Amino acid sequence: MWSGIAEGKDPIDALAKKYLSCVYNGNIEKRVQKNIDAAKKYEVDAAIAYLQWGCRQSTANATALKDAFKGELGIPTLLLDGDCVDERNYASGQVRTRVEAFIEMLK
Amino acid sequence: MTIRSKMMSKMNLMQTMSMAKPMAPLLSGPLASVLGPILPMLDPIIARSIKMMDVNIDIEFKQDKDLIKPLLTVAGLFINHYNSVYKSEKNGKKMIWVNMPTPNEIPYALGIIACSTEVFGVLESATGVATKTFEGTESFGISRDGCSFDSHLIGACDLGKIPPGDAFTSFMAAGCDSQGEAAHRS
Repeated sequence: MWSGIAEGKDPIDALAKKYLSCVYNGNIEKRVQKNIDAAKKYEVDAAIAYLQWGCRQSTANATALKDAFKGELGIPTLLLDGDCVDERNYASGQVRTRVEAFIEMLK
Repeated sequence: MTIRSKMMSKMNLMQTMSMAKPMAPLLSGPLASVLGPILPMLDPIIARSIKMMDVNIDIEFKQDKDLIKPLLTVAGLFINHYNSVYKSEKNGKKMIWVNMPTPNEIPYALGIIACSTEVFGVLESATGVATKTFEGTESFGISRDGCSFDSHLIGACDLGKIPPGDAFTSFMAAGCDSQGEAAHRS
């Protein structure tokens, strides 16, 4: 997901390039493409996209990602809502039911 | 006594760390010497994570030490990080708050401790004490319908759980601009 820091170069320039390589910096197309590349590399059969509802902007790519996985790779995606900080926004029973149903669908 | 020292006196995390006793080593080599003293602290975090996932995973985690190593390593890095934050004043180090997109290499190159403020909420959540901090936030009139990382941070500041930094940096490269209120309260 991240590139390393090029050694022997101007450190600020190298840092800038490293941070620009992060999937969260840039447009949705870049973020989706990185995920597609990773899915191909690891030959995944399905994907679970965790949507951190405590950080709304980070969830903006969810449907674009799901559509790309389906369209380009033909694999299903489960969009799973949650909150890794505020546990009041997390319902373990609901998450378990959705994951179990998704796994059942894959069989 | 400085403001930060007063706040630090309220923290029980360091007290917990100092009381933690080494347990039977799961790891060997240099990693064991680093993680050994903090392993007891990791137990509730791991146990809670397992509880949230599935009971069956509990058995696999305990049996497969190779699987647990990365988890322990990451947890150890976070605990060491906040340890350096809490001890920064005592160690004569400047400490600044940073948000997630901040290139931490720059402050560390200058000998400055970079306190990752958002992750503090994740740690509190993992140990099951974040809800009380959120209730503190909401008592100030802050809406729940916002960034949970920084909502937590606002409560943590006002409850004296996290030391104020000597400065604050906020990089907005990731579209994250929600730390202004938290910085104001620090």
